[in-house]
Amino acid sequence: MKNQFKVLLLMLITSIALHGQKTLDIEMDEKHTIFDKSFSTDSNTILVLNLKNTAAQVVASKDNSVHITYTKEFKNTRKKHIKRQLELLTVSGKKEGNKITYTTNSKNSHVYLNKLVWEDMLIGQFEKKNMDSIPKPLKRKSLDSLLFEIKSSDILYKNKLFGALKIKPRVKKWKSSDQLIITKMIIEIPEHIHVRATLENSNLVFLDDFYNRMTMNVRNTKIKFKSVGNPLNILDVDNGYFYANKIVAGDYTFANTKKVLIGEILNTKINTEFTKVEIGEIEKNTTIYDFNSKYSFYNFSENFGELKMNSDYSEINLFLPKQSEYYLETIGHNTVHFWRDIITEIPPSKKNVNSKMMEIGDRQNPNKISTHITNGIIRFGEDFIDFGED
Amino acid sequence: MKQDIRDLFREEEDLKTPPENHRSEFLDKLNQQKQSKNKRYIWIGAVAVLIIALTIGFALFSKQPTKNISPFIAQVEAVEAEYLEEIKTEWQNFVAIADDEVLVERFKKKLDELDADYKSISIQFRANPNNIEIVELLIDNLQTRFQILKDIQEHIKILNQNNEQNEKSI
Repeated sequence: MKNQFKVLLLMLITSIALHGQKTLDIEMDEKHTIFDKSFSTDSNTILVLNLKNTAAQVVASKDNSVHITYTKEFKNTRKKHIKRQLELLTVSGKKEGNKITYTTNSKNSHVYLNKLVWEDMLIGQFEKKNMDSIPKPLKRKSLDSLLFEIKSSDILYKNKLFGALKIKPRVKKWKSSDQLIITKMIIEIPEHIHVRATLENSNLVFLDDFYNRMTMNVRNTKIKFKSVGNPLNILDVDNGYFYANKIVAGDYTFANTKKVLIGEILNTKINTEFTKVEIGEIEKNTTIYDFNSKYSFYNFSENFGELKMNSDYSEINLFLPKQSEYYLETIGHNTVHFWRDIITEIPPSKKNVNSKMMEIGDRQNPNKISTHITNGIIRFGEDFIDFGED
Repeated sequence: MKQDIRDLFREEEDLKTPPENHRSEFLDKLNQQKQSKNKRYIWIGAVAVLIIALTIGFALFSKQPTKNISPFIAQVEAVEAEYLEEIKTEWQNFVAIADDEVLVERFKKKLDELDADYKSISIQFRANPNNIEIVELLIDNLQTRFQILKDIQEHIKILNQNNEQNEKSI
């Protein structure tokens, strides 16, 4: 009986993949346009987005206007269910002066699941937490492999669900009698406007590079960028998931974020706490302030300038630069250093006074890795970091 | 003295000739009997209903009031209870090994924030129990609390282990 529910889950998860796809060769029965408006802009325009329980895609506008289209398509769905789906949506959009405000909330889920499937899933999730604490050796990831991980994040997330349920993924054959609901929200934004957004329990994907100024407050949301950055960017992420192929500038804060995957990073300031961060390549000048997060730095570009890190109770896994000579120093106290097979512990100082704990290379080298760390763990590796400290 | 039995029967027949109003008298008597029987049945019915009502009433009021919750919500509550118990245990373990008051205070603040978040998500879940995203948020929240407590203990363990080794070598 449980297998039946797992099959149902597979079907439902497959329907998530269909969600928001650009082209789909399935003839739908009904299409409802929930919102379809365009707003002209100039360099002083501010776009305010308030998205709650919403999945949307952002693309670059081909003209100087903001275009927002929100549609829902149904196949083999009962009229009563369609009516209910549409009733649960709240959407509004207006322009007042130079401010365009678009607000949306959906009280219904993107996908509803059979209750018993959830029982399986909850049990799976619950069992999984014990598996996470088993330390596994960490391999250096290439930039390409990390970018692939970012690109495949949705599939990997699905695989995680499959893993939790102990079921093998399979390709679902589409049957013309299957029920299907496709939701598409496309927000087209011209490149010169400032975007202020509040996102809650949502899923936002930027399909093009995004260099607009943005001020974002993001909670319990999956957010995914290609290349992103503006020196005036302020992005505050609480819980959820963050993916970016490249960050070129700005100020980013992450708290309790389950996963932060960044391909390349330059000229950026990051503040974190209780977060897991993986960075494919430090391209140039990056500063990090952290409390109790886990960082993995996989690669450094040829001229990476300076990586500065100030941290307390952090765990840092750093694969040493391969493309250039470098200067490395660690300053602080009460920190364990794992350098290949050598373990060095700098004990707590009586007055909590910081001192130089490790120094490698020529101080004059323009490529510097400088970490101020207290109560931390730093592991350095060439291609492989072993966690078997015990 | 001998008597012809057939004469006797003839006399009886003469005696048993019914009076003229026997039909109406009979019907009156019959009606009276019916009424008394009906009254008896009404009384028996009333007593039976009263007994049944009292029995049901007693059964209902003698039990503790119970919440009418769906099995799915009950399942989530069971998982939640198990997680919360583990989080409580991990918190106690953490406080027992942490000798940094600032660290304990910071964790307490973070866990309080996550707990407040959880309460808000729980309200949404009860209003909409089949919503995949809300259940995911609930699980994420519990897992985060559990995991940060496990991780910090592991962190402190590594720091302390190496401190002890250093002290021994000195």
